[in-house]
Amino acid sequence: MLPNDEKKYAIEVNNLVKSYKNSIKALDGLTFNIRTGIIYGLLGPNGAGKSTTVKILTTLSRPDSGEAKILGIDVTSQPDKIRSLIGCVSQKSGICFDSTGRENLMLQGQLYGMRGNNLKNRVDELLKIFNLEESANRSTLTYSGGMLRKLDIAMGIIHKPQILFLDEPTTGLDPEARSTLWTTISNLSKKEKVTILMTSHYLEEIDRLAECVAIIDKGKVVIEGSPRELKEELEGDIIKIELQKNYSDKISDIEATLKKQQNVKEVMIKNKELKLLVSHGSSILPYVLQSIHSLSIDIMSVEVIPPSLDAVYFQHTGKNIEN
Amino acid sequence: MKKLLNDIWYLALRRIRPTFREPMAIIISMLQPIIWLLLFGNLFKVIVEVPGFSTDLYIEYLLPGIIVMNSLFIGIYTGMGTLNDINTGVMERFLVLPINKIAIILSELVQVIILLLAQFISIILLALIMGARLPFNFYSIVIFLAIPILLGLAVSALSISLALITRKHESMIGAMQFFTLPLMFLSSAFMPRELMPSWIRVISTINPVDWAILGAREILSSEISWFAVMANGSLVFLFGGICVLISLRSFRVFQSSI
Repeated sequence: MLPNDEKKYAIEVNNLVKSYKNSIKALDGLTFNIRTGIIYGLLGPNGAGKSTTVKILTTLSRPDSGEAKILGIDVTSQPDKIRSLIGCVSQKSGICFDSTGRENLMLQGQLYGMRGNNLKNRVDELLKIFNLEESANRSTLTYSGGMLRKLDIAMGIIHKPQILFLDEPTTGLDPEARSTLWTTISNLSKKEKVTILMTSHYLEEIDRLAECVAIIDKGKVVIEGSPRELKEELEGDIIKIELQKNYSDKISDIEATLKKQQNVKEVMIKNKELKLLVSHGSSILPYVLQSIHSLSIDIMSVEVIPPSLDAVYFQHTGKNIEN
Repeated sequence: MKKLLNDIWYLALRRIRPTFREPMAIIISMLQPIIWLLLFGNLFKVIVEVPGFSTDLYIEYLLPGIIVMNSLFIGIYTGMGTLNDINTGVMERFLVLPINKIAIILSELVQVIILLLAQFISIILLALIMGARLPFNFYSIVIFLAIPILLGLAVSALSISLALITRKHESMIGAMQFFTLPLMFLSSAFMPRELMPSWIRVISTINPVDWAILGAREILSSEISWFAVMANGSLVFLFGGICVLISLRSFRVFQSSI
């Protein structure tokens, strides 16, 4: 097997720029490539450009400039071709609430050009996979949040797409429903060999599912790699200290004092919050607290955050992801 | 082409199926025109003694107006479904499917045709029970139904445009309340043009609702002027064509705003 370029990457995104009417730049030179067959995570806070990226790749929206290709086909110039290749589960559920689950699936299949027994069997198969057989003929109004999300995904893959987009697939679900969906998504990737692009602002989700993750902020990829690589590269913890008040006059003193200690790699102060990127967080904590105390600065609370995607995210964007 | 027709039909079924699953919904949506038919039909019974009416039975005079009114009321409501689709994410899902976007709008219109036909037949039956004498043959009843349906489609297309552009319930409801009754009273639905104050008469000549009413009413007269039928029918048809073009244009505006 010759790994030529087209086979290697299912999705190629090159220097995408997109601004909205209110001149907010949603994407600002976004670039990444997704290998065929993997789950790729796009991580970032609200407004980072995740949904805009998905909208452009699914032909809903056009970029101002830049290029995006799916399976070698240009997204902006051949949207019709792209539409039959991809499946898309968007952030907002797209279910018709005056129809039953089965009717929703049938319509979706019909619009993809599926007919007859081929369609009927596929619908039955999906209802079984997603455990929706019992409620298939009930109005979707009676479905729980988890069931609706499952139906959404079933509709997204009814035509067996090679590429699947999942935009915030588990937002608003309870932990149990979320973990069931995780199993479903991971099975899709392993058994059906679907390449999945998934956006999320749940770190745990990306950590568990994605083989490769790109952290995006302000419409750019800040860093890319497997969750493990990213965490290893970080080699350290974050110490988060909340100060009693705003010590703006002592910022340089704090930095100078703390940086004397070798294990402290970076110091960031924003208003009352002091964040340190350190190695061996727990063991140098006493030293850190002592030095701060010696500058007669009062501390409200202290937290040591072990290596996590959150720490990675923080290091690269200076922001916490969870808000 | 075949794919387009299939898509329109499947999309229309999505709307039609739930409507017929609950026939009460059809009946409820007909209540208003039926009440108008009963109330006005009885209230103004003697008005036909005034010279200027084409018939000596007011119910016969009123019937085309009530039918067209039904088109207007149902048509102007169509955009609500579109708005709902936009808000629930159904519209976005349709937009990433390999279907022609025209199918999305045309499917709504198919549903309107079916709903209107069901209602028109009931209203005509009621009018017959109330004593109307309707000299229909096959061709005349087809045209009698077609002209109001065309108007219904035109109004539906405008309503869909409004939903696509404003994306607000308030503006939809505002439009319904602001336009429906004035459009009816600025037409010959209840009163012939000859008996209107002159300013209303002037407005009625540019009121598409009145074109539809005049076209349909002509079919009921004892000596049908096919010229009047065709002239008014063509005007409604032209208006409908323009409205559908507007809705397609609105769809493009909507898509570029996603």
